Amino acid sequence: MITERMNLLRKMVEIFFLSFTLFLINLLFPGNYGFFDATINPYFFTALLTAAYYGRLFGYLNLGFSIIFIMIPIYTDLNLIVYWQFLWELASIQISIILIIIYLLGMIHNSFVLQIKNQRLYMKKVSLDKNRLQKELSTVSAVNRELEERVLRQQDSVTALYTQVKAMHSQNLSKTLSALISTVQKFSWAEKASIWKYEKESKKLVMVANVGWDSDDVLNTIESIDSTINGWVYRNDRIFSVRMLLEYENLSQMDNKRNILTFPITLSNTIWGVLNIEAMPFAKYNLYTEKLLAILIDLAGAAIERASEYEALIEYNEVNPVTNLPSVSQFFTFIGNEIRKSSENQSIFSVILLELTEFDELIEEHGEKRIYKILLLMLDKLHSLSGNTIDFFHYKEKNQIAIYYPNIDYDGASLFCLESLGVINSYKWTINDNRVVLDVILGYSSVGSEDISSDDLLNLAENLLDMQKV
Amino acid sequence: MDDYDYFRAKKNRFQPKTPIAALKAYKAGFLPISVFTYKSGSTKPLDEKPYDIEGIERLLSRENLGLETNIVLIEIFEDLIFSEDQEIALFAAESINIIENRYNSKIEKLKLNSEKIESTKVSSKLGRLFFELAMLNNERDSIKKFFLRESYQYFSDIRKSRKLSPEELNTLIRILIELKLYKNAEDILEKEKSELSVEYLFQRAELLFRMGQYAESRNTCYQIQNLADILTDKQQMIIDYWLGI
Repeated sequence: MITERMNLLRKMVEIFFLSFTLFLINLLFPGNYGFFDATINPYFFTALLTAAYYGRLFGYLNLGFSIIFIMIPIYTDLNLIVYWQFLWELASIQISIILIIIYLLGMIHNSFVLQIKNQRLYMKKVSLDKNRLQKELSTVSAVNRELEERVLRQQDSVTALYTQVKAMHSQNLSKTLSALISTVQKFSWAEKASIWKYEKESKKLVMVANVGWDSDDVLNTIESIDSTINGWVYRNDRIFSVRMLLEYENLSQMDNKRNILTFPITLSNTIWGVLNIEAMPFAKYNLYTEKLLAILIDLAGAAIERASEYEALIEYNEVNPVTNLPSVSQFFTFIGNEIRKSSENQSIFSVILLELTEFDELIEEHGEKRIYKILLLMLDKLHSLSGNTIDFFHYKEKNQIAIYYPNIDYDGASLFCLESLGVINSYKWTINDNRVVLDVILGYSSVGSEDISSDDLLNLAENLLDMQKV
Repeated sequence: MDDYDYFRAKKNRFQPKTPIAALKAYKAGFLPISVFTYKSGSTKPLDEKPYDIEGIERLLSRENLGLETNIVLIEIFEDLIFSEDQEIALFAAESINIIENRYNSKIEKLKLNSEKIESTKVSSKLGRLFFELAMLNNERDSIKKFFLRESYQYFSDIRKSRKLSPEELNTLIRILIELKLYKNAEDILEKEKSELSVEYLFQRAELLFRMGQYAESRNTCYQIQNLADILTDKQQMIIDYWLGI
């Protein structure tokens, strides 16, 4: 408010001195007092300028000051009233016109002032909005950074579950169970957990995998199914949760303080065994964890079943001692079974034959063990590429490996072969830090909608291999 | 132009690797906001194999990482140490050193300060840092226990001069749980509690649960239910489960 008044006063003083300066200049021209002889009257012109620059009020004020100065009779002997009458006659029309022009200029000035004021308000708002948005953006960035970190460090996400479930697919039951128990540990933060398998011969539950067990725990690896909670879960196909001890007396009597959450593991409507969580943080003991583990066990069922079947099928005296891969005769038996199952269930699968060329030269140069070691590393990479779904066998020749790939047809096998060649050719294979070039050819065939014998299936894949050798 | 145009014209456009980069690209007008949304929702957890070494490196470069993130990183590096690729194995070993050195330098700095000022605040920070170091050494039991005892010592010293704050008490209870000294934890909890708070009751329920006293643990959950007006989702989940709601 004070600033506004000071501003007003400054303008008034400015206008007064402007008129006064003109008056002083006018004194130098006694013959043209009031500048009425000039084409453009400086008194009126400055009034117009003032009106345009400062607005209507100051324009009138300037004109007022100028008229007052002009009305001072310095170079005349006339009577004051007569002099003023003379001035009025001389300048009345000009003054009237100037008054109108000042009014109009004032209007234009006001309109501009209003526009500028609006623009200023708009700019202020834009600037405030910009600042607010910048603050918001930096906050969002910080929040996003934190969220990103949370996502990055999360260990129980759906994607992690998917990866873990994929990791359970193995030809080796121990590996499958180990993957299952590590997944359970990951999702439930279990400090101690174990998997128990029902042995038909002894009619007892036998511990087949564990995590977090100490030396005392290892003393109890066989349990009766009649007097233990693990057995109760197995017999009744029901989940046990430790809070049930508060409700059921029979469970309390069986409790040996080694069960927090216990789940039956069911494969094709048959109970295979149980999974037992023996120690876990209180914060994770809730319905969410219970349901999550139940889902996990359901998902693991297929992998356990497949690994169990595979183990039942493979005779370990027919496993290659260096590579631990089953022999070609086992492959024939396996494929025969799979073709039979395929015609029953209308399922599909593919067989891929992998041949390492210049095998004898490689063995001569590096030795059999090293070459098989590098071959196993290659198979491991192909296993990962397939999402851990394929099984390997030795084939007819020492340098040939047969791959069983379930649930893909001809197109899928072709794509897998292409991707495999990409992986094999891009990897730097080394033996004792020396680069080794591995040349691989692949042939494939599939079991689809039409029935096919195992001989025809393998002949198709072999023909593709032979074509590449020509 | 729809949200998926970015993917259709992907080859000709800037491809951010992280949500932060996508956000910056959006801010600069290079990319639509949908890319940021996609990147934010597609972030791969760090411990998923095959490991995203670039992502791990990027996260490691942030100085002030929290305990949870450091634990995940250490777990990954301990796995990567056995990598066939020697460069990656070396990177993993160096990265473990980086994380531990960050803690060590903080501890050294605080110890220097504690010589100048006899403050329980410094002891509290030192106790917490030793606890975090113990958690990072989860796989090495003897080292873990050593750090836990160091941490316990600092909190015991604080207890001689004043009552523990809720955060300090929580850390001390965690230390004793890690050392499996549940009875000691229960005694300290009883002595140090300032009021019948939800936090105290949860700690008590956890200790009873650890000691296999499930009936008492459930009774404590009843107490929590009666006492608390508002519980977090996680807390409510635990209570509901115990009370069979």
